[in-house]
Amino acid sequence: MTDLLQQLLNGLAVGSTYALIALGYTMVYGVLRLINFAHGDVFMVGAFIGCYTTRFIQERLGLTDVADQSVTVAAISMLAAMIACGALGYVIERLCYRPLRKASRLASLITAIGVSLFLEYLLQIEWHIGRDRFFGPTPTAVPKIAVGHYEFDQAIVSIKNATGLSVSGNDLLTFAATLLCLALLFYIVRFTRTGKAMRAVSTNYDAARLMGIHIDRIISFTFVLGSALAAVGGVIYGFRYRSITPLLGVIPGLKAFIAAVIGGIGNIPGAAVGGIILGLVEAFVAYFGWSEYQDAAAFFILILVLLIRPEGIFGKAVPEKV
Amino acid sequence: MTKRMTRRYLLRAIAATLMIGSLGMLASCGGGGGEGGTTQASGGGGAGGDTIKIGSLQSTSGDTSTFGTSSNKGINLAAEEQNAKGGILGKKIDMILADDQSQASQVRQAVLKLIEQDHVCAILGEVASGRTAAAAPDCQRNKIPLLSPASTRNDITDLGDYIFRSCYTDAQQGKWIADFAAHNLHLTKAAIFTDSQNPYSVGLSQVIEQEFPKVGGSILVKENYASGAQDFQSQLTNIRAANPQVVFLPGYYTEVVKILPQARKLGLNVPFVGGDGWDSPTTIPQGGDAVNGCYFSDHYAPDDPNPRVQAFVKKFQQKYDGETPDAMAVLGYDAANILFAAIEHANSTDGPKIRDALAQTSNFPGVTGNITIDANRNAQKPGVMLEIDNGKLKMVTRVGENPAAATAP
Amino acid sequence: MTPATRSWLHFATLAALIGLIALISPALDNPRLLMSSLTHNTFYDCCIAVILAVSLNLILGLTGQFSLGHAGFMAVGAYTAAVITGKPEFFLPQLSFWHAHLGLSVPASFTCMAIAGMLAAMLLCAFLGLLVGLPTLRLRGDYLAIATLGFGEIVATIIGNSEYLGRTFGLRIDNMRQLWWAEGGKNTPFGPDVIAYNNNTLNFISSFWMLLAVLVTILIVRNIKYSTTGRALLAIREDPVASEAVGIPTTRYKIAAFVIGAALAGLAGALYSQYQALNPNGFRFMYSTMIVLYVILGGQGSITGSALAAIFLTLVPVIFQRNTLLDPAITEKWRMVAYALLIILSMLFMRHGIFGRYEITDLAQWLYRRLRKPPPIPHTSPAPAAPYALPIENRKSKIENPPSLLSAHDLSMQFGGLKAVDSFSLALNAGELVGLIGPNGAGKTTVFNVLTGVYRATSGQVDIADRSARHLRPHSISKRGVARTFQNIRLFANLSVLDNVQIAQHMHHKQGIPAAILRTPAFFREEDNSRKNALDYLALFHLDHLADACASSLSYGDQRRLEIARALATRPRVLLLDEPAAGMNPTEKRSLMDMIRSLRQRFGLAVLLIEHDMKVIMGVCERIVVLDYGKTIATGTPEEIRRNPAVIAAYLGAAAKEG
Repeated sequence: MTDLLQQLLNGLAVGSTYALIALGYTMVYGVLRLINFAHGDVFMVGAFIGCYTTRFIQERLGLTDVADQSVTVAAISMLAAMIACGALGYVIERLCYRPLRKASRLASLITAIGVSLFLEYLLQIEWHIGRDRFFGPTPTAVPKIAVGHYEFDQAIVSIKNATGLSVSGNDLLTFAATLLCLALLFYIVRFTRTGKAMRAVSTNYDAARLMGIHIDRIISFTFVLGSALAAVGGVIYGFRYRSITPLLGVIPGLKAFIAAVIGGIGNIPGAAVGGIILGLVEAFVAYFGWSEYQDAAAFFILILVLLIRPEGIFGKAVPEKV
Repeated sequence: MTKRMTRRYLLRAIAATLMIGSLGMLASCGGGGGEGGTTQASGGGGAGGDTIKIGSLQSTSGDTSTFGTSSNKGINLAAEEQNAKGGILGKKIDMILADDQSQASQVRQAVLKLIEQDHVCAILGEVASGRTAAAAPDCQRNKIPLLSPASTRNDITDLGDYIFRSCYTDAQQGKWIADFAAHNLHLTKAAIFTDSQNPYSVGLSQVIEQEFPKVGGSILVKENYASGAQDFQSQLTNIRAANPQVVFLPGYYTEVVKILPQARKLGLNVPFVGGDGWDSPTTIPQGGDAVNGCYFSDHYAPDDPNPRVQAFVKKFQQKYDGETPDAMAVLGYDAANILFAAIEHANSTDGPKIRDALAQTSNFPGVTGNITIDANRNAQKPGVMLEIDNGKLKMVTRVGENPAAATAP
Repeated sequence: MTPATRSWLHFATLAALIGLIALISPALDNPRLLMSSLTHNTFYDCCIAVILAVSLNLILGLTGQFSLGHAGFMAVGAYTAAVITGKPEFFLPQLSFWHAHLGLSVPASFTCMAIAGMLAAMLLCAFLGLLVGLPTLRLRGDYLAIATLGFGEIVATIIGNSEYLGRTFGLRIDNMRQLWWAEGGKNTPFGPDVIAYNNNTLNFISSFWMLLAVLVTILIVRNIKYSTTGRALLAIREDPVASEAVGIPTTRYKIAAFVIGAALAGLAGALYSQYQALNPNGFRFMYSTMIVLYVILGGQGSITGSALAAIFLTLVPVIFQRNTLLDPAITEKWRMVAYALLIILSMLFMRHGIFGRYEITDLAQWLYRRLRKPPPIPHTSPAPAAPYALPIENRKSKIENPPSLLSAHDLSMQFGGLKAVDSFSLALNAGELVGLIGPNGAGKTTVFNVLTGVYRATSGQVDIADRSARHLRPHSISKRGVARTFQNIRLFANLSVLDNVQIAQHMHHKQGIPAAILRTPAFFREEDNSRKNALDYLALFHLDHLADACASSLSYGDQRRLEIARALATRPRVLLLDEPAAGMNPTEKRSLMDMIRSLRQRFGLAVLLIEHDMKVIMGVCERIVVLDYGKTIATGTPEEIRRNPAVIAAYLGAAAKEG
């Protein structure tokens, strides 16, 4: 029973990561109807920037393992990654997607793949500054960060002692971040002027323009927001697995896309739920001893969803405009 | 509008011309490169000039570029030393590198280039078993000996009588690991955690699974993971449920450093035992505390007091900017030296003659121990068991050594 | 030339090409003559790349469907053929059949096995293509991209986990036979023969078969491209909605293209397995992207372009490798970055690739035409009776006084909280001209979309000639004789004017893909007829002199007329015109309305017309239906409508009521 519960927790933790990436995916899709293949790679860039910022602060400024400072370090790294990825998202949109907005969807989809490959292979090239190695195909170690305070760690230990379940601070962090981002995103899209404009753009481009909405600005904002969210996911991912490579975004990116489709692509809470579902499914696939087919299972679910309910759990079937 | 159209067509026309033009250029120089050598491809290449050409088939780019690069460093060090001593048969050695981009599909191209364009007399490589196998048929057909420094898969040398290796096999290694767990660690209840996509891991697991019961152990549970995965907690939870005393983890370091922290987090605090796939400069820094108290079999230990080892480490560090040689480097170094000795012994750069000389290699004093090539073209040689102790590699014991050789320095 | 002659000519050209291949291939295969085995290896790699590029072009270039799993199909093909020719449990029985039973030599027997492997690979890939294509191709394009990507990864994962297929250790057929020999095969009757063959043969498939496969692939894709099917595929790429409206079953065609493409990728894989080492990781996403790059760089829809790009991109790394000037560790990394950039840049600046959808033969034709005097435009009289005689008579005999051609009963369409159409009812009889009017947003176009199956009605009934049509897809409705135009003109903008009309005759064509590939006399006959008919339809609207122009280059009025001509070419009984006169001046409008009236007369059409201009509609229609906020607020003759207070209120608003 403990093992089953532990699997449930594992699934929940992995699923939260997928959900976090899926949020950005689904938002960009919702507004632009574009599968932003590069999203998983922006996530990867976020992980790297988080890693290097942490390393810089710890090594150069000498802030190391003290718990209180670790929280600050983590927060600064996160912020740096969010800003950098937001900028990256803006540049990608401005240079690669905007010129193609009037072209066929196929053209932007192919470009998205190009951008994705570009980021993956560019970061596979090693850079050396002094004795430090940056990027490159071999895994980069993420510095350790003690999340939380002594009491917090004690609480986790007591959970472990009482129930036999192990939860790490990182699991809780991932889960909390997902909920927070979900709430934030939901708030922005539902209750702010910008959110209203985003919804307007997603419903009808030209009508939104006629209503005086600055389309370019809204789409840029969507990209910046989505990329910043990806950065949050990336930094947490780095802290969690502590080993990052330029290809780390590929599989989570694809899984996140599948999660978004399960929840109904374009639907924000749907993406979160889809991510959790996918995480749980994978955990149970492993529980029954089929772990080598975890990735295949995800794609199998995708095809199943496309067969049975292509609009996803929460999505509405929207007829194509004629 | 017309202006824009014209510009667009102009752009296309330029692109097309460029493509077709460079195609012609590429084709002509590409065609030119390979001609001529075909007639003498079989057998006696490499003797033409005043150098002896030896091919080095490596993955210096792509996924496993670290393996190929390390191996090549060892090989180049050996060649440099040999040339300083006057080369072989009075000629300098010309090491020619061919990169296969870590892709099986590029191996044939690289091998044929070495044989037909560069006219090498023998080839050192590949590191990965799958790519050595991919290289085997063309070497065999052209009667060019292929000596793999590090392919441990059992059936590699069955692919032809020109295919050799100078490292131990998975069968030997698996036996050592099983023996070590049962006899040195006195742990008998084990779990096996295999990388199901990695034939090395699968092969080694199979051997351990066969050998461990023979030394009194039992396998409680077998779990699989896939190379490149990030989260292993589901499988580790299953392993934890079986409550083993030791976990065999015959995988590559890339996953080992991710698996162990997750295992410790789940409270799976038993020792993990692995094979030479754990060897990497990144294993300890990345694994951190989690890899402490784990063991793995390897080809050599840099802290081995054996003077041969220390001399090699010193020379390597001198040449490569203080870098500590890993297993791939030392294996490459040994393989190159075995090949040089064989060419010297054959007194010829003729493929079949080098082959015969290689087959007779006996008690060659390598850095990794004394190496004898047996009738199946496999190497009979010792290995070491290492422990990761408080962030440091420590040699625990030598394994697979015959008593006679053990005393030799 | 008669169709039969042309068919023969096609066959003879093909035979000559095969003869040529047969003649030169022994020379190609001799390592001492033309190519060293190193160059030969590259030559084969190029052939494989060409097959992959051309076959993906059928899916991505011609049909506009984004498949990211082409390498996955190739992997399936490669492993199928490798098993058939490399596993003793498969090659031994075959050897005893081909070699012992039929008396073929060992090399010939293995060639037969390789061919069996190719066929098996193609069949399996076609089947898997169907399996992947069926659920995804009926959806939007993005899903296909992800599903095929997933397919490729699943294939690689399954192979990677299969001991029988060598996991990531990989397979190479020479090694498979060698291991069998080492493990006891030497003692079997065929052992020595097999090992002698294995050790003395450089490539287990000769250049003849390789080049034949390239030829067949190019032939299949080329012949499909220039046929009814090819035009339909291009139409789908241009505009799936309009394609459905002119009666093209888009899903079926997409699946057909996908399945053929997948089978050809399987063929490439099967050939590949005969000389290269296989490894599941080699067939992952990156390889598929590479093939995509061949197509988008060379030209989406261009066989020449994609083949050249494939050869070019295959040779680049080879040259890097052969020249020792550059460090491979560096060039390899930057090469991939450069490819990624190439994808982005070609999308940004050269969206259709270097060759667009043109071929080298098009260039030759263009030059030929340039050099010769321009051919006289076939001047047809504006009212040719002949081409219509047959279809129209057929229609008439079938529909002898039917109660109503198209009827809607209580039709409602709901979008979320909005009822766009509310209880709409209408009966259209043969020869009737009915107007559908209403203020902006009244739901007129939605009525059209529901009637033609673009939207599925929330409730209510649609009947065509008294048979329910509520659940039919648009192409079936078109097939039942209901044609339409679109408010915002949906021509196949990048295709020629003639193509637009020829595409619309699609459902009256009987020669399918096999006939197109084989170029039977019947195929040529139908092509000629189709072209002639299309020109006649164009002549009807005085567009025949523009037949070769690109549809998007036409003036606005001509585009509207072309769209009507296209709708007519489906030979409908009911014509739904959505604001056909929008943007025309009064004179043009009047002549268009005259035209519509005369068409109705000639072809016995029932016409439903949406129009804003009250004057136009009052002058031309017998009956008018007025919609407001989705509800029918009035029906009747123009006179009745003009006096109807509800209509006046709807059009002039509350102010009119008060005043």
